[in-house]
Parts: sequence; structure tokens; C-alpha cells
Amino acid sequence: MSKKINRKVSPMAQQAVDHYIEQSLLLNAAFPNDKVIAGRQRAQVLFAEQAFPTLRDEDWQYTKLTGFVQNRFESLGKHSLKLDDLHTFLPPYAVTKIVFVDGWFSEELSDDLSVLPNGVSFESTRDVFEVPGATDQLFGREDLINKTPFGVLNSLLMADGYYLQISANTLLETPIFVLYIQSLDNQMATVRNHVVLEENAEMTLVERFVSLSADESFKGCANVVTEMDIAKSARMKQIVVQEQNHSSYYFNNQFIFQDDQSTFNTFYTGLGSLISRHQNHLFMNGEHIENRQNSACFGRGQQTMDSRTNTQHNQVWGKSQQLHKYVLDDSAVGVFNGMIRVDRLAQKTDGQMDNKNLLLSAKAKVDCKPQLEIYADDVKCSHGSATGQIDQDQIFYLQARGILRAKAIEMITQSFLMEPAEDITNGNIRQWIMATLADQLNAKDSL
Amino acid sequence: MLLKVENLQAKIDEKQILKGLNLEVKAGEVHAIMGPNGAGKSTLASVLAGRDDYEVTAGTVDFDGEDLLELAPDERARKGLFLAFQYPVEIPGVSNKLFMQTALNGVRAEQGLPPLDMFDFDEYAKDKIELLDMRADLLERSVNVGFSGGEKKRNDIFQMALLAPKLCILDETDSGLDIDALGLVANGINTLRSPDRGFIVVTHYQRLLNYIKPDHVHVLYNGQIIKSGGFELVHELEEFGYDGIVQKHEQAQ
Amino acid sequence: MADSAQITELNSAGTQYQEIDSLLSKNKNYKEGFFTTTTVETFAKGLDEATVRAISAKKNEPEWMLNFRLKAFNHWLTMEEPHWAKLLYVPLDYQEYSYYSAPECSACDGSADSAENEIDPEVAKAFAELGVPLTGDDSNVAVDAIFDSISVSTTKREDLLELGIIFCSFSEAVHDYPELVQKYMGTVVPYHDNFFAALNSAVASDGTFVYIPENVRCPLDLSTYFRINEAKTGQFERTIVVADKGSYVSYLEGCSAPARDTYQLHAAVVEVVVLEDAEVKYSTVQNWYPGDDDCQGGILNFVTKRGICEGKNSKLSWTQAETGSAITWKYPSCILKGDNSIGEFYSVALTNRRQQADTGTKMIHIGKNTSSTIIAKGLSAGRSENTYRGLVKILPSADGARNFTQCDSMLIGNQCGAHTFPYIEVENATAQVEHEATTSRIGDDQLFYCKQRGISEQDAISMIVNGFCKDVLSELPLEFAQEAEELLSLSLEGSVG
Repeated sequence: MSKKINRKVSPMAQQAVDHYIEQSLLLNAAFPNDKVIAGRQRAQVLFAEQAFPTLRDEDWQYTKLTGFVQNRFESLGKHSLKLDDLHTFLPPYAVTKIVFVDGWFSEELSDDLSVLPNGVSFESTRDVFEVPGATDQLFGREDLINKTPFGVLNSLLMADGYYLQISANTLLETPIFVLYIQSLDNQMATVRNHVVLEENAEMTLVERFVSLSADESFKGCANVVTEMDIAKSARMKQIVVQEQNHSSYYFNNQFIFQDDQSTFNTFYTGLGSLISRHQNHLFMNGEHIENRQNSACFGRGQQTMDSRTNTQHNQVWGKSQQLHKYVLDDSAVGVFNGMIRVDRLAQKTDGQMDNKNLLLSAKAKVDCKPQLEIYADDVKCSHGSATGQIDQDQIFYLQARGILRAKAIEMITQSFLMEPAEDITNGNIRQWIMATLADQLNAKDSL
Repeated sequence: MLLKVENLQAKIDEKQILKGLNLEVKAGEVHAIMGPNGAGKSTLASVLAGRDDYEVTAGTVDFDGEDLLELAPDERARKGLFLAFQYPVEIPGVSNKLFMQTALNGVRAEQGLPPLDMFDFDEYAKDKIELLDMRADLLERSVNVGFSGGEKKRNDIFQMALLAPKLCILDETDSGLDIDALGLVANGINTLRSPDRGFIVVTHYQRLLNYIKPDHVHVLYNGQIIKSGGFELVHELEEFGYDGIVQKHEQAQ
Repeated sequence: MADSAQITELNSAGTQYQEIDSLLSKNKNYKEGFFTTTTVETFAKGLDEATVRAISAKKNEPEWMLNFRLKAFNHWLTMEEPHWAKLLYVPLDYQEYSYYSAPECSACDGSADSAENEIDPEVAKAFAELGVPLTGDDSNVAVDAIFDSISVSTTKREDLLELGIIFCSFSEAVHDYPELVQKYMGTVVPYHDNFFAALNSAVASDGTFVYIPENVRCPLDLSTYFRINEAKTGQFERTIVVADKGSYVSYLEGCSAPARDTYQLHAAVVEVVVLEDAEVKYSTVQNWYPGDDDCQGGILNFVTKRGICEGKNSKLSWTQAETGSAITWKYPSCILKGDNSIGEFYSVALTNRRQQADTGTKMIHIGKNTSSTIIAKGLSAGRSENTYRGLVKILPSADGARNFTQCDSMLIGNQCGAHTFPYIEVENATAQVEHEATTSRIGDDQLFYCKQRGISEQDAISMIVNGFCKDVLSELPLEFAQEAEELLSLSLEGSVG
């Protein structure tokens, strides 16, 4: 039935394709592991055939990559970061810190991971390359990952990442904090992670993406793929903070697999990057699963903030909740795409998805596509999407209480954007996120 | 005999609720079935009305000379068995008028009577609306949508008045009603009492019964009727509570 | 005319009776499934430039119309059949269809004066059976009846003409009002708009033309009844409705077709132009043959309907009740160009058996303070797939634009699918766009409540379904609403329990 699309690749895009295939060959030479090389080669075939998505691809019609393909990011830069350079990026609460610089795990900048509590094991993906036989775990879901264009690019340039495992019944109290920092100009950080929570395990994962320099002439690209296996009754909490500088790019595909009675709570905030695209592919493969996916994005300048979820209810009694909010200023573009798919087996599903957008400027725009695909009859699903400007009545009400108009707008905008963060259960992290959002909103005038 | 229940046993999801219940109701009689939470009161009402979540595992029910358990729920209704729901259901977009006209004409067809057209029905319903002091726009509104709890219960009694059933089963109709609403509901029930009609009033509290004054009172406990008596039993319950009666029952065994 | 003669065959279709009977027994629920036996003139199957020329010649069309067709045909050849919708169908073989079919007797001399002509008694009988009044004496509606490729009768046109209202078949309009047709045809749906619109532009059979002059409020509902009769033919009607400044018209459209075991193709184009202060209310009850339980036959309904609110304060309202067709691909749209213009879309789409529907609307806001409302109710039963797909686009110029969308789906049974794919594009900060969607089913508790009041399950379901659709059905003209309600019940028969 499906017809192969006869793609016309522009000369510019073709040059980019050739460039990244060349980068892949350099990586093969630098890290000669047969299985990893074979994986990159499989991706190379796909990449050469598909190239980069264009506006003609329905999933990319609102996120323009024409500027992106003019870049020629590289993979093998050598950084010279010191611990002192990191201070401003660390959170004000106790964490176990893991640092990736330009996509490579840095042992010297990370905390001593040999003293992680019992039941918690961490390995860098690059180390996994060096363990014969262990590389198979990297390719178990290759077909799924390679269905997304940036998954293919990730497979093509697979370099480093982490494998984190929490054993059964282990409760990891201290959050794991992963800092991804762009330190060199023109680097592509290709990261492949895998998190495994065994039965009844619990953890909190905080991931933060930053650039060392805010200078517009400095740019980088993060392309992350994370697999998460959340076993029976396990509880995963995740916070992703994306604050790369405004000329960088961010692509993150998360594939999450939940088993019976497990819970998954994720919060994403998109603040940085010229183009950012954060996507959850969530598979609810057990009964009585619960999850919540929230996001808060603030775009300004020429930013494109793209956040999307694909939530697949595959078993009975699943409950999924979502709240996605965008505040868009200047000429920023917000893109929200959410899909709730309910399988025939997934009776008693309760799926809710909400999307709310605030446009602060005449040139800002937002494209949303909240979707439902339902094949079971005894389900409760809904989605809502609302776009508008700040309610004048609210502004007036605050003014009438003696608050300056500008301050009133700021307060209303701030509380609007913070709502999705209210579901973060850890008080320290929630306050830190709220403060980060407030800083960004207040900094908007200084730009 | 209007209703004769013998050794009725029923379960839901493998849990046995009714464990051999006997009950006889003659036309003109008002029976109250009281009991603590979980005794099986609502199950009895549901089984008699034919809700298919419950499985009848033993026993017989004779309703006006017919085997009730063999009849589909809508047949039971058309033959004159009415259940006032503990939680009347909302049906958005369906007007009370259409709903009740359809229902009434089903009952009339069963009785060999011609259907009522829109105008005859309006005429017929008008009296009952006044009787129950319902709001005038009742018929135009969607079934139970936007009704308060009390309004829903009164709407059920109004439906009872329209359908003029032989046997009325009221399932915790008093729950959640304030004193004013309770008075209206009780008044409605009392005006519908007649020598050819039987009532089964299922309730946890005696306050509705003070208005209705039942002829017979039964205490249901653990799926069986453990004590029957006249209206004085209501006062006994008031004084000693269910615990007292249950204790006596268990001692007797 | 000479070259058209060689591709014309006379075909009396009486031999197929047995086949039709057996089909009908499989489809008791489709009451319009009867079949009319009359002498017809049908083109041989196939589509090429000669076919397009032959159709044009058959209708004695002027040069400009032929040129429009040829331009469209040549463009169509370069296009690909779209498959982006959530509809599974094998690519159609366009050479397997006949592109012209007409009852013999009224086709003798083009269709130009069909209103004055005697109507074939068999055709008249067919419309009588469908409840379509062709005599025009006793009803409040004027009817254009279209049988396969041609319009067989248009009632009350003289009365209307006295008010300056033009209500005639599209073919007649080409002859009698060429300047109006040329002025508006292709302005809302260009011939190259999409694959099926291009096909329609090339082989357009007949349709209705309506023009309401300035400040005239059309006193009657105008209606067109479409009937596809011949097997393996396509119907490609072209409808143009123009409401001049300050005018009003309510236009109704009804459709049916016999039960056939092969697919029949229907690719219509409707263009509506609403000028300043004018209002058009366009209602459709579509009950094309949906095919049977084994996925055999049915109408393939690929329709491009679009209207433009050209002037200030204009209003266009689409209301549709869709219960038929094997496949529906249809997005009645509003281009809200005039300031303060209003677009509305009220839709009930019911699918049962193996039906597939991908339908919705597009609201394109261009003018200031434009507003649109979308209420879409989807009902899926049997093994059908029902998709709402809608676009709300607020362009930068549309200051103060408003949209409200409500999409509700109801699933009946566990073998069907209900899907909602909205596209919301907002490029103006002063716009306010709200979208809500829900999915529900007929609750067991609702069914039991009805049954306890003595209402049969079947009646309870049809009551609940009509309640679910009430917001939309109440937008239809009264007789139409009743017909739609009956259709809904009928189409759902046997789908629950």
C-alpha cells in the first residue's frame, strides 16, 4: 500500500547528508567496534535515502529545517572545560552530577560514580562499546528509533551517552543530574541513553542542556535518543530543562516503555535554541499505568519551540494526563503536536491532553495538532487547545489593585507558564524550575 | 400476590450478595427494606429490575403470575415494575418529553391501549407535574441533565406517576435529600399509594419512613431478611440501631 | 456529435434485477437501495480527451466551457490520487468508469430545456419514491432533481425568476447565463485545486446554479436531489451558489444511490460566493449507498465544497448529516475574507459496517473580527472508521478573529475507530481559538435506565444518539432534521447488542 516517496533532495541538503555520512566514517575510525560500526552503516543506508525532512513531511510542516541543513556540525572536538566552568549550571540542591561535554561523558567533571548507592549502576555508552557483547543492548529498538529522522541521524553518529540501571526495590533518593554542555563551537552532541528501572524501583532524573557561551556566533546541536524501561510498579520522575543558546539546535526523542502499575512523570521546559524539538514516544504496555507529561515553552526572537507527545494506551485501565503551555513573543513559533492512541485492548482508558498558548506579539505564531485515535469504546478521552492573548480583564483587575500594567502582564504571564511545573512533586526541584522560568521571562526585555 | 420472592440468591463479580431472600408483597401494601451498608439492599432492587451485572444463582421471583427472572428489563418495566434509582442517570440531548412519551407508549402498547400523541401526552403529563410541584419547563429539559440531586429523585417519582406501575421499588430514594425535598418526594409517593399498587422502599434511614408509614418493615442483613415486623420495627431500629438487632439475630442463631 | 456517437451505447439495464435483489436482501437497512429501469444513454467506460470533448459536445457547450474542461483534464493528468486521509482504498482505475449517463428521453436534445420536457415516467417514479416533490405544487421548496449525469427537472423556477432569482441546472446556466458562470466558476475552487476537483472540472456532469440578486431574501428553500442510478458511472456535479449583497438563501442537498456491488464514484465540486451582508445556509443530508457488511460496493464520495465570505458581514453556514458512502472525503470550508464575516460548520457523520469517513472543515480567517464555529459529532459503529480532520487558520491580517471548535465522538461497539485530527494555526496574537474534543460511548447505565422505563434497547440507542447529535440536527431545516434523525436510527439498526 505505502508508496515510496520520490524525494527531491536539494543540493544544500545533499551536501549536508554527505557531510554527516563522512562524520560517521570518522567516528568508525576513532571507535572501531564492529557492532557499532554495523549499526552506523544501517543508519547510513536509511539516511542517504531519506535525507532531512522537509515541509512536505506532515510531521515537519511547521518546523522548518532549511536553516539547519546549512550547518556542518562536527563530532570529534576536544574540549578543555574545568570544574570551575560548571558552577553556574548546577542546581541549588543535592544531586549526583553527571557531565557530558559536547556529547562526550566526562569522568573528571562528573561526581565519583563508583560510590553510587547499592542497586544503582551507571556506565557511559562509550564504555559499553568496549565491552564485547554488551553492545547488543544498544540495538534492541533500532527499528523504532530509526523511524524518526533524528533517530536515524543519532544512529548514524552514535558516540556516547549513558546506561543507568536501578535494581528492583531500590529507591534512589538523591536526584541524578545530567548536565549536557556545549563548550566548543559547531559541535554536534549525539547522545544515546538507556535508563532501566526494575520492578518497584524509583528515581528522579534531572537533565539540563546548556551552552557555555551565549554568543550568537557560537552554535551547537544536541541530538539525543533516550530509551526508558519502567518495570512493574516502578516510578520514574524526569525533568528536562533546555536552555541552549539562541543559535543552537536541540532534538530529543524519548522512547518510554511502561509496565503494569508503573508511573512516569515528565516535565520539559524549552527556553533555549533556535530550533528545539522534544518528543515523547510513550508506550503504555501494562495495566493500571499512570503518567503525566507536562511542558512549558517560552519562545522569543526567531525561535521555533516544538514539543510533542505520542501516547499509546495499549492495555486496560491506563491513565495519561498532559498539560502543555507556550508563551510566544517576537517572531517565535510554537509547535505542539500530541497524539493519544487507544488500542482496542485498552478499555477503561482515561486520557487527557491540554494545550494552552499565549501570544505576546503580533508576529508570534503557534501551530497545534492535538489528536485522538481511538479504537476502544469504553474510554474517556479528551483534548483541549486554546490560544489567545492575555485576558484584558485580568490585567485590569490587577491594575485596579494598584499593580502597574507592565508588572501585571509579567505576573499573569509568569503564572500562566508555571502551571505545568506545579505537578513536579519534589519541592526543591519545583522551586528551582519556577525560578528558572521567572529568570527567563524577566530577561526577555534585556535581549 | 403481586410479588413473591423465594430463596433468592445473587452474586456480582464472584461475590455472593443475596443468600436466600424471601419476600411477599401484596397489592396495596408498602414494604420497607432496611439494613446497614453492604447488606444487599440495592442488590435486591437491581436484581428485581434486571440489571445484568448481577447473576442470579438460585431462587424464584413471581411477579403478578409471571416468572420475573425470565423477562428482559424493558419487559419487566412494561409489565408494571418500576425502579426509582439511587442515582438517576443523565441522558444529554434527550428531552424528558420524548423519553417519557416513548416509555409511556411502550406500557400502553403492553396494555393494549393506543399510543398517546404529543398533545394527549402533554395534557396527561401536566396534571402530574402539578401534583409533584415540578418546574414547568421539566418536559423540555434533557433527562436529568443539570438537575440537582433532589430534582433527579423527584423526576424519578414524576416518571413513576406517569407510568402508573403495579410495583414501585424505591432504591434509597431519600439519600442526599434535604428536608424540603424529602417532603416533596414523600408526598409524591403517598399520593401514588393505591389498593392496586405495591411498594418496596429500600432505605438505610427511617426519616423517609416517618412520612410514608410502611405496613411492613424488614431488616436485611448479610443477604437475608433477619427480622420482619410492622411500623414499630422502625422505632426499634431508631432506638437500638442495626447493631442491636443484628446481635439479637446472631445470638438467636 | 459524430465522434460521440461511436462511444455511446444504449443500455437497458433490466437484466441485472436478480443480482440487485440479492444485494438488497443483504442491505435491508438501506431503503433508497432500489434501482430504476429506464432506457438510458451511457458512455462506454474510459476517460481521455475525447471523452471530455464528447461530454461537452453532448451538452452543446460553448467553446469557453470546453476549454475550461480541457485545461482541467490536462492538469489532472499530472496529478496523483491523494492518500493522506485516514481512508484505505485501492487506487481507483479511472478507465473503469463511465463518465456520462442520462435517461434517454430527456437527453434527446441536450438538457437545456428539461424543465419543459416530459420527465421519463420511470425517473419520476424514482423521485416520487424518494419523496422528492417534482410537481412543485404543494411544497415550500423548489427542487432541482439530478439523475446520474443530468438535471431532469427544476421546479418553481418561473416563480423565482420573478424575484430575479436564478435557480437552474448547471448545464442550463452555461447556456443561459454564460457571463455569470464565467465570472464565478473556478474562483473558489480552482480547476487545479486538488486531484478530484480537477477531475470534476474536466468531466463535470450537471449540478445546480443559484444566483440570488441584491437584497433579495429567497422565500423558498432551494434544493437539489442527487441520484446516482447507473452502475459503474461517476457523478461529477458542479454546484455554484452566489448570494449577492444583502441577500439570503437556504439551500438543501440530498443524495442517494441504488445498492450496487461495485463502487460508484462521486466527485463533486461546490462553490459558494457570499457578498457583503449576505447569508447562505447550505444543508446536506448525504445518504449515498454505504456498501454492505463485506465491504462490497458503495459510493466513493470525494467532494470539494468551499465557500468564500467575500464581503463584510457575510455569513456562510454548512450543516451536514452524513450517513452514507463507503468512503467519504469531504471538508466543506469557509474562507472568511470580509471583515466581520462568519463561518459555521455543523456536522454529524455516522459510519457503520465497513464505512470510512474522513471529514471536517477548514476555516480560513483573513478578515478582521471574523468568527467561526465548528460543531462536529462523529458516531462510529460496526467495523467503521470515522475521522474528524479540520483546519483552523488565523492569518496575520485577521485581528480579533475568533474560533470555537467542539468535536465529540461516540463509539458504538468495540470494532470501530473514532479519530480527531485538528490542525490549528494561529498567526495573530489578538485571535482567540478554542478547541475541545471528547470521546464517549453509550453508557450501560444510560441503557439500563431507559430499559427500566420500558424502552427497548433499539429505541434507547436511537434516542441517545439523536440526543448526542441534537446541537447539529437543530441547525437543519425541519423536514431535513426529521429525515436525518430517521436515517441515524436506520443506519444504526443492529449495530448494538
